[in-house]
Amino acid sequence: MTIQAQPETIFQGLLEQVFEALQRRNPTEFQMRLWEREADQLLRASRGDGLEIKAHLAALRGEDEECDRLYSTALHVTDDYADAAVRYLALLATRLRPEKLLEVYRDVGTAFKGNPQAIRFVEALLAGEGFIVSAWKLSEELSKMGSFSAAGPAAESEQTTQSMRIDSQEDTDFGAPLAFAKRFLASRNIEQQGVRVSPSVSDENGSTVFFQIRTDQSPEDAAQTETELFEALEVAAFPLESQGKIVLGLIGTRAVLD
Amino acid sequence: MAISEQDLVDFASNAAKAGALETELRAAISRAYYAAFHALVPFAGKLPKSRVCPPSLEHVNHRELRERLIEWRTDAVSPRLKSMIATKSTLSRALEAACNARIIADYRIGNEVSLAEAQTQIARVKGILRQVKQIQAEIDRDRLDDSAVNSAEPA
Repeated sequence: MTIQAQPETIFQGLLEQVFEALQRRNPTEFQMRLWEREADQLLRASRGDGLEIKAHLAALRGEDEECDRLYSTALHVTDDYADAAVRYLALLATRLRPEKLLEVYRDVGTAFKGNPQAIRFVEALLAGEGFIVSAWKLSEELSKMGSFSAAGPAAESEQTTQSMRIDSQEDTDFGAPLAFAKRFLASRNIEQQGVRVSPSVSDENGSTVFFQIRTDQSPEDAAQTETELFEALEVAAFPLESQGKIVLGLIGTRAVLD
Repeated sequence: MAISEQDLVDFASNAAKAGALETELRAAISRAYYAAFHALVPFAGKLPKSRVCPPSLEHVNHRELRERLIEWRTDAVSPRLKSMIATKSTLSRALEAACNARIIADYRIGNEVSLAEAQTQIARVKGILRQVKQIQAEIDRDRLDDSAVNSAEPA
């Protein structure tokens, strides 16, 4: 599932541009004003779509409260609730606001019922934030619907979750060290390119969830950053991470080709 | 013929080149982990058994190695290692990351393994080997100090 609702619309084009700007670069003030004007025009044609673009622009300016207010209104007036909710969650993930993401997910989660495409997207989104308790529940839902899961081999996930007694854990127990790592990388202006989540259970290594963050770095630099991250994690002392039940690692995606 | 952990890292480095097959990348990740494992086992042998160590365990296995490093009191082996708290925290975490990368490489044949992942694993393991060398150098220095003190003592 992509974050676009309808292909080939002004909304889609604008959304692509502002979402990309959120992920990669700071737009100029001139560009921001152009987008604001287009959002105002869109607002007159389709209020929900216009509000969503304005919410993205608020996020681009770093105005998170305004972004939340605009998205909250957009969700009330949109005729495309499930997709709008998915886009809001994606925006929150991009803005490194996992706590708000979880809060919004708990409010809007029922909107995805019976929609395997949306569930799969949200499952991957939640897993990528470390919220594996909720992601696992969505994986179960997909399995009941006869649909495949996005977050990895379901059987392995189930074994891991059972052996780690995930039901007695909170999403935030798993998400907090990952959020810490993401913020650590962001504070160093290291571009992040996604997270791979690998739950595993084995006699030789016990039960772990392995989060690998892809970074726009050489492997050598990633290994160096990883060491610094590990030092910071020692000080932060997250219980599941300190016990080795959550393992973090980086992948420097600029592989050496010669 | 015996081999060393450095031989394993060299093998991994030669395998993880552009154009390598995925089987070669997986082998590189796995061999690199074992280089770290074998480099750390002698040191782990000096540490007390972990709290979760089964009484019947005769050799340090993957899990016991990990647990011993997590529980390692840095002044337990040598007073010179007391200040190595940062080394301890990074070493145990790097080993866990390397071990989990190895599990993916060896067991998850449905997951894609990339050149970048293999090269990061090798860089990670080289870091582990450097840290092991530092630890060993401190232990050796401690031993030299002891023997110097002993030889200076009057008969």
